[in-house]
Amino acid sequence: MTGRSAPSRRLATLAIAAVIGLGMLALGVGISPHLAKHRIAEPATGGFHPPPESAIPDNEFGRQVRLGKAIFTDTGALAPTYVGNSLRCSSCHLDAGRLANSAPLWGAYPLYPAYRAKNGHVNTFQERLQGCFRYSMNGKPPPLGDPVLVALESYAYFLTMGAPVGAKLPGQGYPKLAPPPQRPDYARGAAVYKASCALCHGVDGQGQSSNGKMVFPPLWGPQSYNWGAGMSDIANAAGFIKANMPLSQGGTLSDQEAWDVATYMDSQPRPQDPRFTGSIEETRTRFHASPTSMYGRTVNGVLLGDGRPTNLEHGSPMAAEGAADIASPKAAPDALKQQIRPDGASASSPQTANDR
Amino acid sequence: MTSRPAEPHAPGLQPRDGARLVTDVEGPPTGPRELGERSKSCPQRLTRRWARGAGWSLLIALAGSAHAQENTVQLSGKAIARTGVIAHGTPACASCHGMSGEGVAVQDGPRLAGLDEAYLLRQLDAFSKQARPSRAMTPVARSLTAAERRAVARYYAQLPPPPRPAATAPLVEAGRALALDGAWSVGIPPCASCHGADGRGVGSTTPALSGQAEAYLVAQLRRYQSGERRNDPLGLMRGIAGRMNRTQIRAVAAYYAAQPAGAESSAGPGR
Ligand code: HEC
Ligand code: HEC
Ligand code: HEC
Repeated sequence: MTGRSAPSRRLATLAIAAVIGLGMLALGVGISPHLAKHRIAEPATGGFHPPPESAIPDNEFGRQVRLGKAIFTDTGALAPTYVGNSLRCSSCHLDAGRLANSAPLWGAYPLYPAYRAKNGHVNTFQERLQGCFRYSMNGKPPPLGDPVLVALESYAYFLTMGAPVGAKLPGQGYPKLAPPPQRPDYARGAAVYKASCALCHGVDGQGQSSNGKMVFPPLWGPQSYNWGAGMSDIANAAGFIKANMPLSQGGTLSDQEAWDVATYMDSQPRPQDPRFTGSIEETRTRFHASPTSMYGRTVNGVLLGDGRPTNLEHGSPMAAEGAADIASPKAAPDALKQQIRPDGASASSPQTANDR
Repeated sequence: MTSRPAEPHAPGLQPRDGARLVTDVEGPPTGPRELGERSKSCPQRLTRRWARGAGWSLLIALAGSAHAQENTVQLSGKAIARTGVIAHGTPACASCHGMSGEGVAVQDGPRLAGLDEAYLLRQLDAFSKQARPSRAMTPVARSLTAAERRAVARYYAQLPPPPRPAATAPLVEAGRALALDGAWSVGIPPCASCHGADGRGVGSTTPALSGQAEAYLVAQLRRYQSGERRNDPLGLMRGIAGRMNRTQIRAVAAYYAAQPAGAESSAGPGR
């Protein structure tokens, strides 16, 4: 079948076999086992370990706990009436709300009821959850006692079993980063973003999906959290990013890089703050009077908070259709833009982010 | 499509059935050019065959170098996949990846059908630059021109993924937990958080794992672990595999091997 004679084939085979034998010896030495192990800082774990999944009891309470976990990790599918973007609770509270330094549920639950400046009264845990839907999920708060809230609360309660009540546990919330050595900077943040984030979240920040399911969540634009969300505060975002991003490599960015990239991320357009009063200026004064909020500032010629996510860098496919989802407030007067950006300098940092 | 002779690739080759490939082949499959190269991912038995194939390549290289120069016709991805590039001593991809790109388990040849084109191209480049050293693939990748790599990547990307593999393993359940819940206490997020809930991969960022050959998955995880494979962006897989133990590797490989490959991974914005 080859047209070559059998003897010549055998000869060649023999010769080659010998060469290969030697080659393998040489290679075996060269390649073998121990190239330095590539290890990256492992995420810090708080002192408290929530009970394992296997401890969920087999009764009505257990059923609620499981439902709560399912809602937490597939929010849009299981609570569609209350969700207005493509995020899940677990997009920001990793390991289904169990991971220390990722605002775990077991860190939050023991702290409620608690007074919250955000709405000026003592909040039950369910009220706290309502805020998550309104802002982080850019949706509607489920009414108190709604099955969605009951299930989520059951899940949080389950994860907290065995924890001391009323105390702040190590690993609660997102870490509060010290002010960075240099003023946080949009341009440096853009460079960090390109190097360490765009791979997954996309150059345009719109995330990526697989088989129709979101895998890498959008960081800004119509399908992300709105201007009222905790993550739109640069200090919160920097803490989250430092501890958790890039996914699986938490703790590898410097504090400076985390502040810079958080500044970049939170200087992008996103859905309007639901507390919008009709005036960007007034909304900023009332709800964003903080150096770590970019709401109402102008970055790259875009007034943030006008509800139009037009600044998507590479022409996001979602910009057009998403714009409709968002309440379109009155355009801000030019005078306001000037007032907010008096220096007209390159879109950069919140002036005093490092005051925090 | 070209005037190349079908030789020396055995026409009766049945790469779908790896066992037959190893035992029944009459003629010598073409081996990689480098004689000292040994396929670590293919078993020894095959290696011996390849050794003979390599002998053939040598003979053909000697006898056919004139022919090689004539052969300037741009080969189609399909031709490269099915018959190789004789002039460069490139073996048919099909000999380790199957006639339909479905993978050949006994040779640790992963499935390529339906994987993302840009991902495949990135891997071929990594093989040739030794960022992903492989005794089987480095010589193959190097023997292809840039245009040939593109053509063959495009070819495999448009092939339909294979139907659900038969594999069932006792470890599958343990693997499922790691794949879907991760092992955060040792810094391993769920594989699903990067490879997608059903393991079908995300655009050119992460490859599909579902329906991939078990032995291939094990081998890749070990190579990330040892740092031998180092083409992963940001060192993500070296980090993750570095935190995995042997049991976890075996379990998660068994799990993904048992999942249906499903339709082509679809990249889209995250919603
Ligand atoms: C875009 C990211 C994001 C998403 C999505 C998100 N959260 Fe949060 N969550 C945060 C941030 C940031 C904070 C901290 C806010 C602060 O400290 O002001 C927080 C705080 C919390 C807290 C209080 C934590 C504590 O320790 O005080 C709870 C409880 C909570 N979220 C539950 C949820 C639930 C339930 C969902 C889904 C319905 C959800 N979150 C979705 C970002 C997010
Ligand atoms: C390897 C892929 C990957 C990389 C790289 C990565 N992320 Fe993420 N990121 C994720 C995933 C996945 C989630 C959601 C967590 C989950 O589903 O378990 C996430 C969640 C987030 C969230 C909360 C959800 C949201 O949409 O707001 C923010 C903010 C974020 N990442 C910022 C960053 C920043 C900033 C960087 C770069 C420093 C980065 N990420 C790098 C994969 C990645
Ligand atoms: C943080 C994101 C991330 C997580 C989590 C992750 N991977 Fe990956 N994985 C990647 C990326 C990115 C690549 C592509 C590397 C490349 O380009 O070579 C990859 C590639 C792979 C490959 C190579 C596949 C091939 O076709 O050669 C295997 C095998 C793999 N991953 C297995 C796993 C397993 C098993 C898990 C869970 C234990 C896991 N990965 C979790 C990001 C991730």
